[in-house]
Amino acid sequence: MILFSIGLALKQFPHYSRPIEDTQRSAAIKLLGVLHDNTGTGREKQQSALQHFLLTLFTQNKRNSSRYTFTIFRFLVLYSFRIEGCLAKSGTITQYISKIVFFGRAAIFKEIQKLMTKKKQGYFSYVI
Amino acid sequence: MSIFFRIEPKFRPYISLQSDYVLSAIYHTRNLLKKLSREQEQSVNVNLVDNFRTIIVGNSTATLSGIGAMFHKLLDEIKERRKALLMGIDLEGLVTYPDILVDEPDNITPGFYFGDIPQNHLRHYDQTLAKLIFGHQEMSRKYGMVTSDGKLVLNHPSCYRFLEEVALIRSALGTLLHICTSGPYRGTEYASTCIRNTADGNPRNVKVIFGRLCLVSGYSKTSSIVSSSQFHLINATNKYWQSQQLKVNYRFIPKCAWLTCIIDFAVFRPFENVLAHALRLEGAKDRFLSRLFPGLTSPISSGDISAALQRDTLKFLGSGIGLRGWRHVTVGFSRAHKDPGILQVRQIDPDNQIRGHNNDTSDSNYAINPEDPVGVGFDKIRSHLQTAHWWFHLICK
Repeated sequence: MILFSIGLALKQFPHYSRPIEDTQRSAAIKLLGVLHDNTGTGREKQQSALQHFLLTLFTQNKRNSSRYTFTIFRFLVLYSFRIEGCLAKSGTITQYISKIVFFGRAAIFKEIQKLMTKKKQGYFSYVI
Repeated sequence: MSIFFRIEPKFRPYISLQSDYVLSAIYHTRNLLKKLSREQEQSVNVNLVDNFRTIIVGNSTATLSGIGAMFHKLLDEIKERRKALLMGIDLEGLVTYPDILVDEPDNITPGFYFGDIPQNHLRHYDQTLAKLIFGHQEMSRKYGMVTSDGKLVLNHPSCYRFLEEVALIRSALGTLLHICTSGPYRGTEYASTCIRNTADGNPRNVKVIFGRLCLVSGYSKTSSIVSSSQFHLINATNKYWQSQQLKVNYRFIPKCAWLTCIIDFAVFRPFENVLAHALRLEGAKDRFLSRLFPGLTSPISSGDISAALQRDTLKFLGSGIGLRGWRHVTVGFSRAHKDPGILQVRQIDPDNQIRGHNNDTSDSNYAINPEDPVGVGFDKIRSHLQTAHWWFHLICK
């Protein structure tokens, strides 16, 4: 999914060119920029860039147009085709979706966590 | 006490069902696909013949007596394969367990399982396998050697093959438990079964309830919580999440399979854990103690479990039946032979009406005891026990 999104951002697929949001493109370029950073803080930078890139993917708004404007949705559609050319079984596609949902929620959850840390709120601030 | 982690309003649209964001579109697509998937599942052709004692699911056939015979043959096979692995030593003659097993269902200490309780006398089997193997002349040569300065040097390839064989035997045990416990598991539910409490606070799934060995699992369909505006940090305590979405199931294991299970939990796993450390199987080390199906190189998936079930059903029933097919088999037989005596989960309880609360309030707040976790209901556990007896009697009569 990440590779596909980066490829789309950098226009690497000559036969499949679809517009991608500027925020996603800049996040993809930033991620690529730090990918080979082997310095001490490189890993942190990579994690931060990856988190930012995932966030741009999962917070994309379709703005009253079709769901196919979502980069992730495009990936899902293409990934759901089998090598024979037909679509995979619905049960198989839901498994792909579960993985995507997991990463999406994780990215958003991490962002919430970051915000709460910034506000100095802990997990147990809202214990009922 | 339930713990909720409220979501900042700004983030809610990103994960909610009704919004213009990606996950919303993905949820809708998933729900649509699930409907399609159910229709595909329903289209399986199922026939019950021979006075409802034979079921034909698609191209596969299973009989009730065949399932019963398969259970006993699997028990024998596991015993024989363990014996062959240990060069003729029969563990079933060496390992015993007390007539009355006890448990502390509310103990949430990470790493705890019922075998740690002194009354169960299972802790002293921790080193049994190591002593047996390295005290046996031929086996000690096969799996390692003691150097002149008293150090044990393991033969890594042989030890790895030992772990592989144990994993294969365990997959047969997985099939055994799958067919003998009423109500077949879903793949992911079964694959994530834990013997011990995990470090992140999840309670174990193997417990002793009413003095019987039982697999307890909570299955939650994630599709039902996608629209929730709150993250539910469940299982923070041993109290199961009181929710309609989480289905807690009790699968009682028949007594004739207890020894086979206990040998796996108390004898093999501690030794496997030692080997995993020695062989530096990173990641696998702790899984050997905690997971029911640890897997050697990666955690076992539902696909692996389904493949093992297909392998064993092909061997013993003549038709390879996977996890999904097995659900058709058991549901078909259950419908045809439904026991009218099975306790029903109560609908309206007049006692609770008089007390001015509903059944859920009663189950969640009053007379809670370790064998009756919050939100489940004593009647439900009893009905599951009765169902387990009924199913085992049905396949083995």
